[in-house]
Amino acid sequence: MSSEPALPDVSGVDEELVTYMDGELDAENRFRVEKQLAADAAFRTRLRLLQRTWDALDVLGRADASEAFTRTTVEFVAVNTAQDVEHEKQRQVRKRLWSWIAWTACGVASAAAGFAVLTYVLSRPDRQLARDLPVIERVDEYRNADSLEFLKALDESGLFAAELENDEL
Amino acid sequence: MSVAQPQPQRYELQDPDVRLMLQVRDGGAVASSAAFEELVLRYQSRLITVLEHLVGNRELAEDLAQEVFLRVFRARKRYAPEARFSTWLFTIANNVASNALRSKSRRREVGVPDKINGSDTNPFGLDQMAKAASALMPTRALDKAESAQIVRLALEALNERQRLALLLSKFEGMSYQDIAQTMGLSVQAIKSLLSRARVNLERILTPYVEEGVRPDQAAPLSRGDESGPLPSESIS
Repeated sequence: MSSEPALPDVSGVDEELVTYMDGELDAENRFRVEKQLAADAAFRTRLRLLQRTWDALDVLGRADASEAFTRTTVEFVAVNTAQDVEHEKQRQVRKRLWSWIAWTACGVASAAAGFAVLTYVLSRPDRQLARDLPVIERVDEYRNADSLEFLKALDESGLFAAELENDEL
Repeated sequence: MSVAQPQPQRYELQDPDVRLMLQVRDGGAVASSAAFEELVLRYQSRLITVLEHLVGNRELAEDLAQEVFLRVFRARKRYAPEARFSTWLFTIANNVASNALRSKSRRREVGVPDKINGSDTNPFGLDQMAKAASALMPTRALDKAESAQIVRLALEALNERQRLALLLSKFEGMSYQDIAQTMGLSVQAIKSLLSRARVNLERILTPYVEEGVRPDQAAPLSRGDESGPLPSESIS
């Protein structure tokens, strides 16, 4: 709205005369225009033409709104405002409902996440125990060996292969 | 050439309508409704006058005026007295009328044709004036209704912004500053807009007033003619 399209130029004289007629000139320019009007007949003619056009607009007249218009306007505003209030209430209800749904969903998701984390954390010692069960079952035997290297050497020599097969059978 | 600039003002102290609007904003239900009704009473005729001459239709102008008052009431909680009440009201009216004119021009099948090449004046508007004049002017003695029709058609030949600026100046007696605020333009732009509007109107109406020459008989205005013959170029 603020950009002015390129329009045909209006003379500085016309612009100044219109501004003068509208009482929008400052004192210095007003004085200068009045001096020019006193001295220049063509300038006065131009002012008169512009003034006549301005006065011609008087013929358009002014509207006179009826009392009925006032009444219908106030009623129109009241009805629309009541509808606005109703829409706002419905909007608030919808907002509260969605808010409740969102908070409930958040709660359920948080509970599920908490349960999963808790289950995982709590199950960790059991899983460790299950993984270490073969060692635990033979911990007494392992204690009799002096070193891990010695046991590995015995295993690699195949000394216990027959015994293991018998155990499996 | 310079235009006097107004000083900042406390509008709630100077403008009783601003105080009424503040009552609409802050008052209880009864006080608020009463203040609003008073504002409707004070401004309905003024608003319809400007809107009717802007959109060229009384019934549409009344509908738009009601829409403007509805927007005023809806905006009451956000209202801040940063201008005269009339300036604020006509700013809303400007928006409402602009929307209506845009819709109207989209729907329009017949009527005053649109501007050609963005020209300030509308040559087809002049043709229409001529048709109206030929039907209405068996002699040069125009009665008031006929004159009103000619002037109305001349007004319709102006573009929307020139027309609004002219109407606010003529019927509301608004200062350039207030018109600028209402239309969201600079004071300098309003000065140019009003000058163009007045000069264009003068060029359209003078042949009727002085010589009875119908516009379709007169030499058409060219864009070059729009600056017009100047009585004096000594002042700038």
